[in-house]
Amino acid sequence: MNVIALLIYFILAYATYYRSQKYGANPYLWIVIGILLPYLGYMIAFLHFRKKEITNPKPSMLPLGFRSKKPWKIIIASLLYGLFIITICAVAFTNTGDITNQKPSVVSSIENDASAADDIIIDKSQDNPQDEEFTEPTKPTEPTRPANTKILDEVEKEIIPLPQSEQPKGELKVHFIDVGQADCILIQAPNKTMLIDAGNNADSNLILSYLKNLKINKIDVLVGTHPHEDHIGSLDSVIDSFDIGAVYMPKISTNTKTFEDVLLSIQKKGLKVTTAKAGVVLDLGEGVKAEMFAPNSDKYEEINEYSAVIKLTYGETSFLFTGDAETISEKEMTAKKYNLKADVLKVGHHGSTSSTSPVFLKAVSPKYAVISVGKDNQYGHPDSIIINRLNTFGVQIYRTDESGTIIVTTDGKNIAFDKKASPIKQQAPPAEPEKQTANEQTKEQKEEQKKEVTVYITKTGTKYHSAGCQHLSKSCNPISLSDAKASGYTPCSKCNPPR
Amino acid sequence: MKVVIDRFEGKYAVVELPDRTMVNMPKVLVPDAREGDIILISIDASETSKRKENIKKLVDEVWEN
Repeated sequence: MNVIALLIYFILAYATYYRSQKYGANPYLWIVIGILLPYLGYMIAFLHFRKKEITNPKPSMLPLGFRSKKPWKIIIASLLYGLFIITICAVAFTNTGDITNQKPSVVSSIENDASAADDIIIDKSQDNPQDEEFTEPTKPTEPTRPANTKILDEVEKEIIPLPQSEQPKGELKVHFIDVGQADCILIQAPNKTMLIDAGNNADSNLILSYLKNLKINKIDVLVGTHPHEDHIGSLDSVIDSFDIGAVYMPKISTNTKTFEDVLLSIQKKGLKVTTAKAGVVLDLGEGVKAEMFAPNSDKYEEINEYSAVIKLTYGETSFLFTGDAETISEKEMTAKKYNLKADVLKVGHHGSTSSTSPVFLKAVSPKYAVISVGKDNQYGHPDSIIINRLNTFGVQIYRTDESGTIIVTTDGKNIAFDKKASPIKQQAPPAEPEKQTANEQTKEQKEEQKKEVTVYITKTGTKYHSAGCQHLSKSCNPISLSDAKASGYTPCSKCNPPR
Repeated sequence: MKVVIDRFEGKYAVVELPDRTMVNMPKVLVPDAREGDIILISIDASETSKRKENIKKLVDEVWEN
């Protein structure tokens, strides 16, 4: 009996902690609900029954303080009880933001919400704000792509016409280029190219050779999410070396030579910068929708908060690139009810705790997360809290410090990850310029890509499978063949995957 | 030397040297600084010689020969 009581005690505490992680409630709530409340309940029950046995054969069922008829005692008692309840509520909801209102319904659908959460991730055609998912889990879903366009029209104040979303033709590739402790993301749409950020100062050779290697001559859309050196470091070299269509940056300046050089390069080329802010639509050609969800304000304390946040939609697949946007910007985005839902999330600020708040992560509900981070960096990125949070949400994590450059390919329906597309770059900010020559890099990349064969594993199984195997119906995680072998997986006997 | 604070990461201020090299500087060295601030790093010659003299005096007092 005692053992069961103890078990319940621990499970309650853990469950509360888990739920607070998932829904953005204050994590210390588990102390209150998991430990204080049961303890209090036990004390009250103990006192109550003891009284019953020893003194009073017919105990009053009223709580302490209300048994007396004196009004002042009753008033004091109600004040104290009120204070107690308010304290618990305050602790519970300090960090919840928008979710506060939804909390009761979330609790009421405890049995359903595990599957409801899955629905959010899987159902790409569902464009309602995700919170409704919880209030009405059984709400019928219908393809709402036109409706989505309508919502955006209302949100956007820019007069740029939306590119018409048609059936996607061809592939769209997103390269999370491994530039160590920095960001550099290349998007190759069927007809246009976009570069979001350009790594550190020391990465210019690496980035230029990577782009030239892909036979890129023109960058149609160039975005500097915010003027920190780990995002705009090599932007000047990129501007100097390629044809540039349009340049987008938030209107905030800083005093570094890095930033000055970027501005000088822009000026030298006769380009003008368009302010990056929420509502701006980027032209990436037919079938590709790219719009900015942040920054939503003109003034922030931190430069990171000015980060341009871009959502890219191609067919049924979507990506969210968050720069280094932190909690304040994340709150603004969720408050504005943008459709943040995306399949792939570029985790904000290299996985620092300053970003990826639970409320925001829930709004995005990604299937995959990519963290652009330097191996053995000195800043503690990514933070284990963020890794745990992503795991709690069931998000599959890819990291450039573990995989090198990560290439994601989508045909508008399916998303395929090709990790290990490059050797892994060490921690930054490195003082040394890139020593690897362009040729060496190219060769290595090609060889690596040739070697990579993707197979699929399930969550629990010990075998690896080729795509489409019947064993993959429940879970299907892509993994490279070499990784699968190294992790002790053996080939499936039914589907005969590559060996 | 004048260095510019580019950003703060964890315990460090990441500063830009005049040649655009980036260096981590412990935050404790620049307690009230903000992003974009320019930090002057220079040798204080008079303070150096004053201190040198003081320490020398102490050494002479403490040593027996």
